[in-house]
Amino acid sequence: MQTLRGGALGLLVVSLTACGGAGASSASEQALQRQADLRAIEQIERSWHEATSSHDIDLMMSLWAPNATFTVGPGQTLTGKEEIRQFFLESKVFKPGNHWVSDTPAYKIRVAANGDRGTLYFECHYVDGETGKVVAYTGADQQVAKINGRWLITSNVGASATLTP
Amino acid sequence: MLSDAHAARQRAAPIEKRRRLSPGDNPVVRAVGTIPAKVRTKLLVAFVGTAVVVVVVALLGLRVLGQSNDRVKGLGVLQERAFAYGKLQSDAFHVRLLLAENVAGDFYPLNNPNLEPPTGEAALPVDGAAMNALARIGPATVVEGLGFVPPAGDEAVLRGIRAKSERLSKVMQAIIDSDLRGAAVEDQEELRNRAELLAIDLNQFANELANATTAQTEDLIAQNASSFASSRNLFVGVAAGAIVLALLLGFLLSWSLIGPIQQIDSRLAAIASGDFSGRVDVHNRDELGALAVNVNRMNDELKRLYKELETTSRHKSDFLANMSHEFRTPLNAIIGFSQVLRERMFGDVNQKQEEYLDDILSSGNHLLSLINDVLDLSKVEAGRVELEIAPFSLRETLERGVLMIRERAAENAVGVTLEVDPDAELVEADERRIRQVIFNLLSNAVKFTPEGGSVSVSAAQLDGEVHVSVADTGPGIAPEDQPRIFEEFQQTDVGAQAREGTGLGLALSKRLIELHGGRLWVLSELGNGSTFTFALPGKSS
Repeated sequence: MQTLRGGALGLLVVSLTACGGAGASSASEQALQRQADLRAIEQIERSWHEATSSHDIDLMMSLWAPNATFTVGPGQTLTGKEEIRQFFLESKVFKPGNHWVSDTPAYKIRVAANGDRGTLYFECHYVDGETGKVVAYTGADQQVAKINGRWLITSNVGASATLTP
Repeated sequence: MLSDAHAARQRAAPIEKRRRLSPGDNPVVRAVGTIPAKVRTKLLVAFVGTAVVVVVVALLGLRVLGQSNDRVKGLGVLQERAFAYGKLQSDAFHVRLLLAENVAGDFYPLNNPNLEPPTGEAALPVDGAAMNALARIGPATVVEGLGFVPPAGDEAVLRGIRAKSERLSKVMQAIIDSDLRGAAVEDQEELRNRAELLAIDLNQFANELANATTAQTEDLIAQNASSFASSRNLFVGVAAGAIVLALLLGFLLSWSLIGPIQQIDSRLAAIASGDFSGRVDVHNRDELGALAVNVNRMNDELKRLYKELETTSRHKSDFLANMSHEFRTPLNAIIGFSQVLRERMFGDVNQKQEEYLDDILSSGNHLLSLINDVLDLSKVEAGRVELEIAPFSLRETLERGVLMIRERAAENAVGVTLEVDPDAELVEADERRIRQVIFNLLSNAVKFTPEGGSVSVSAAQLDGEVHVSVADTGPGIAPEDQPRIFEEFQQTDVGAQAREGTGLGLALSKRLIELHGGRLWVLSELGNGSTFTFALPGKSS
């Protein structure tokens, strides 16, 4: 009899918990999550420039989604991490003799996040470590997505506008 | 009869012990029983309670369905928006990629040293395509193009996209004009930089708009899934709660009824067996409580009456025993002295005196026999008869009985036969009492069998019992008389006419056989004789 009463109370508690416990997360939690997402997307830019400045190709490739695309020239769009990796290894930025350094954070950066998708745009310049001169102005026009809890680049169109810092 | 009370109490005891272990004694069940309401009120409350839970479940279901319906509607609106914004995003990205074809800045030349951006008319196809794509973006940002009224937040972004696309259109027109004039790459650099930056902004805005809508859609889908899970849990919980509640109420109510009914039933069974020692311990404040009170009152009243009856019966038995004893003493003197006179020990007696002495002796013996029977019957009723159970030869006992009545049988020309089955030769019983019974049955048989008739005595083993039958060819007993002949001082008309016997013999025989745990009965038909049979339990029992 005691067990029966205990079981009945337990079921009622479970049902009440089910009533009160299941619901959408609060607005403050959502705002916090959005801030965390924006920081994580901005971190892509920092890691990007850390990778280019230190020639760390693995770090660079860790920023890309498996089926990401990268438009690197007129009518030239790379698909998948292997093609992108190869592109970077052959680029001037990763060329073994070049010691180009890029300021980070980029002097112009724009981040947006909505749910599991977002955009990241940044402009930067590269300075030759040996001559101290600016050797290139570039930009990255990216779409990003949160995949398995990590923000990764899904699409990148190289921005080629000549900008004034 | 009254001595059976102890045995009845012993039989009733396990029933009451079992009852004490029943769920009806649970404190909660008893608490339900003590609620001062009628049974039908309690049942009504339980049924209404369960029905209310079912109604609550139904209302919850309707509420959840309503919420789900709202979400589905919202999802439809969001999907419509997502489709329109996705198209806008696609167009903006197309413009962005087209503008990436004819570049002026560093990035592409940086990675493609041999890249020669097209100029003049060669650049026109791509620039023209970008212009065409741009032309689709503006109309797609207004209500007519979208097909719905966008929410305020989206409206602001759409305005931004429209403004960017208009500015970009102007820049592109300037680039196309410049292409037509055959301007050099360097001359277009500023215009192309502006165009690319505008396209980047346009693309970003369109992406944000589409992503936001997609995120809202996904959020709503997730919310729907979460709501479904919580609704399911809620329903399972409430349904389980309802079932448990119904079971609990059913259990409590049924046992609050069954428990007292069982108690009353076992008490009545005990009362029926002659046990008035217990009481019904029912705390219900409903109809069953009232019934229990009345059962207890009945029990008390019966107990009182039974005690009175017991006392009266004991007094009667004591009186009979005492009186029998008192009668026997002078009777022995009467019989003894009349025998002494009859034997002429103190001188001769004449024929008349002898005749009177015979009458005195015969009447004295009859009275002694009557007194002995009354004494025996009183002892049985008072429970003072203690059987001396021991194995003895039934055959010998029967033979002795036959021998005792053979002379009288011979006088009446009644033949007596004896047949004993070998299996029934030995029995365990009080030999003296069995002999008494056999003699009584044989005496009756010979007494009521007319001249030339016969008396057959037989003993056999049957179904674990020893059956002894005495059959005669007498006048038989009418069916309505058959139960009566086993009662004290009751005789058939034939018996009464015979003016012989006390009317106690069969009653005493029946009691004696029942004291052995056996039975005594008669099978008879008027004109076809009677068969008296008694059955004694076998050795094993």
